Amino acid sequence: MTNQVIKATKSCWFCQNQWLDIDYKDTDSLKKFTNFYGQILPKRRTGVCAGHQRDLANAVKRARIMALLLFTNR
Amino acid sequence: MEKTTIPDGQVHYELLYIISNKFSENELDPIKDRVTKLITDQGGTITLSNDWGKKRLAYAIKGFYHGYYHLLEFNLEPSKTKFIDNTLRLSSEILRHQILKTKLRTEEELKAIETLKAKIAEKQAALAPVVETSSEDKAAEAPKAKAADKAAETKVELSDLDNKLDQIIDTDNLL
Repeated sequence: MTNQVIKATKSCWFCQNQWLDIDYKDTDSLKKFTNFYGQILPKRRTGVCAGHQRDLANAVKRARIMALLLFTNR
Repeated sequence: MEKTTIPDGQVHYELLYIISNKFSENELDPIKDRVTKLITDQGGTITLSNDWGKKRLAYAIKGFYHGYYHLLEFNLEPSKTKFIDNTLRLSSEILRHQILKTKLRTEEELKAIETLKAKIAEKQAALAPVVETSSEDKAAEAPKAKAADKAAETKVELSDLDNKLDQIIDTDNLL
């Protein structure tokens, strides 16, 4: 049953929505791809394609530098 | 539509910086003017200036839990960004800054992105309850329900604690 849930979400979120590029200032959408501790989720969990996963990781790191996202949760 | 073209030899950049919380809101304008002047003096043209206001930082920077965010977009020659980067780094008023290359977007593109975001929000609102019920159905009824109740209680407490902590931090900063 759990496999079905994962399969349902396994298509690149950014390809589907045709975003021109991933914005590091849009923290609400970036938060979906981090866990409670602020870690970036792996590709197998997010279902994002390889290219977008790389952009996403960069965006999260940029947001962390500007104190928009956490490096680690307290 | 003059804004949509970049002059030859220039690149479109965006700059986000955080002004320290030790200044009151009346004292911000001269600091922002100094930053914009820095760019215009180097031959840059500012295309967008967006004030985010006072925001809580995700973590403390130099002991400050709050900061004033300001976003600028401008066209500039690539060789001159180093000077701006350096001067911003050395200034004591600015806690953090980041200069990045960005695409110059037309108003139509911006509108399209906004409508997309609204659509996504609608979809998620429609999907969210369905996912919750399906996961609950799968679970064994009695023990899981109890666990959920417990989790709800602890969550409420945690959020309360967070709010209290925020209040305490705010008061400390004011002093």
